[in-house]
Amino acid sequence: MSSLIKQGRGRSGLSKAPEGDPAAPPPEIALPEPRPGEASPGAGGVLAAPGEAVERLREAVPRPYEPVSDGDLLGAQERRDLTTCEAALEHLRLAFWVAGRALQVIRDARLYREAHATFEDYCLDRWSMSRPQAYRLISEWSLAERLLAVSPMGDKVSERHVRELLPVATVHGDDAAELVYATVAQADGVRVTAELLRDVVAIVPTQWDPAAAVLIIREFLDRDGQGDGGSVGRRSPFQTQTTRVRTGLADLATRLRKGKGGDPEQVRAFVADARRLLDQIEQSMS
Amino acid sequence: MGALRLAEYSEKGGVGKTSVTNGLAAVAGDRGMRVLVIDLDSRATASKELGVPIPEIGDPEIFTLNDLLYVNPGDDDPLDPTDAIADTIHPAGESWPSTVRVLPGERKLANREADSGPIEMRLRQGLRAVAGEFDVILFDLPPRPSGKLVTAGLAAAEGEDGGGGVLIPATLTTDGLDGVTQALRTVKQMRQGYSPTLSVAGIVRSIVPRDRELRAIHREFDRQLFERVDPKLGPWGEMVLGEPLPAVASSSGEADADVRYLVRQYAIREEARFAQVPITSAPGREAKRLVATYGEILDLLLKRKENR
Ligand SMILES: Nc1ncnc2c1ncn2[C@@H]1O[C@H](COP(=O)(O)OP(=O)(O)OP(=O)(O)O)[C@@H](O)[C@H]1O
Ligand SMILES: [Mg+2]
Repeated sequence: MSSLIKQGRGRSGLSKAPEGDPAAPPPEIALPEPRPGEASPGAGGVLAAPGEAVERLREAVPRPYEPVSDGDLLGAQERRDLTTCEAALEHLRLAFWVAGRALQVIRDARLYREAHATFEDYCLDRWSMSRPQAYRLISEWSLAERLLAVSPMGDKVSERHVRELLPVATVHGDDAAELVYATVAQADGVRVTAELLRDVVAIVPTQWDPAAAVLIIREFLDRDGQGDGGSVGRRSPFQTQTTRVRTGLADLATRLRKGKGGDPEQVRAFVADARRLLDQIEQSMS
Repeated sequence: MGALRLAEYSEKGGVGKTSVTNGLAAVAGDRGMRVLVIDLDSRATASKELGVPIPEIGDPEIFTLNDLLYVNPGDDDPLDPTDAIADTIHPAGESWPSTVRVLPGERKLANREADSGPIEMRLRQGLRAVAGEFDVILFDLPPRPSGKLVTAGLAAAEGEDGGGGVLIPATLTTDGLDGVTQALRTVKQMRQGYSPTLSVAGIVRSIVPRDRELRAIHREFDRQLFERVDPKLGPWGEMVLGEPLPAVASSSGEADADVRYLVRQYAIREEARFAQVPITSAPGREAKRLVATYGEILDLLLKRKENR
């Protein structure tokens, strides 16, 4: 039996990581004031002044400079600068949903009440933000947070992705939107884009059934992948439109089959109409 | 053949990840196998139970996983983890079999989640230097959907010759089943990047009480567990491994010793943790049954590895 790792102990030059306790507030951040009661779940620290986080980022991001080397690999300083710059961009990407959460806190806990009668007044007065804007941000954040969670290994979730999924969340709930997103994100060889999500959302059945939705989305992604070497996302307007029509019809057929249809007269009229249109489409090819 | 690598993982807390990790370590160690337990949880529950004097309870200078993963931002020439790892591996406490080693966690490990540097592969890289010394390497993961530590653990669990797997403890509850769904999702995502051959070693039903009243509900969850199908990975039923791990009740009918007094509310399992002893040395029939089940699971996994 081996010595189970004793050779060379202590010679590696390893030293204890010098930083403090993970729960200790960073020095630049003020200690949280005691809060009244337990009303606020407030997990994080308190930013002492508006813009402070951004201010710190601005100080950290270097001034633009000329290339310092032609080498393939980055030097240590270059790598640090890249990390800092990427952190700044990451901040921008995440800021939108943090803003939504912040607005919701202000609204729900009525933190605006000292100087404003309503949340709407407050948004307009303080942020020149209309009611729909504020409510859109609020509805986006919780969904965004969930998408970030199902996209654990660094898939980029952007505000545009969230916005495309919002209709599904509004109609069928956040679970549904998360499932739609996850189905797309986990499909093989698919890059998630806002355009792709929009197309997928368009084919989500109006009767929500998770299993059926997943199948339909998969089928859609597969069908689309075949055309041009497996790359979904670049779809012709024709493909998009036909997909929507096809799903719309499939959806309608399901509902009728389940006896949730309308007046038989109307249904017959619709079918006749649709047949005529399909004939026209076919004739247009000759 | 390389070591058997297993990562105990579920997003849900309290489903028995750490208990399975240390249970398997105890059983394998008892058989004389060379075991390494890697603790990726900043609460360091596994390390404490294994009797390692981590900084917050014993030796402030002891090297941990945190020191292995940490890279000083001012250091232009970071230490190679293959050089450093030997300093972070320690023998388990004296109640444990002498072939069990621990790469412990510590509270400051939580700082690593926010690292901006690429630290996710440092553990995997470090293990190249020492994996040959072990027959079994166990990774105790924190209950998180993602993050640097989960990624680092699952990337390392794949192993260089592939075949490493994720063992998902599931309590027969809504939470337990959700934990499986989420763990499978994470495995799929890991396969798309950091560890293409990472497999699902299995789902183990964990902390299943024998209580008569609870049986019906557990049967129902059990049925659900066997009925679910993952579109990519296949039926869950085929992933379920071994018999359910029985919940063990308290061994202390009466407070007959100081330790017993302190932990009288706790189960045998918790007493083992408190006393930093392996579950294999816990008294009573229930504990024996639990240990036997750990043993069966280990056998199944070893056999499967051999057949690969
Ligand atoms: N077979 C068992 N019988 C009785 N109690 C058990 C059993 N297995 C685990 N427990 C108890 O359940 C609790 C949770 O177990 P454990 O810490 O192993 O879960 P975990 O998934 O690692 O938790 P965390 O997510 O917090 O890391 C502990 O108190 C432990 O003692
Ligand atoms: Mg644990």
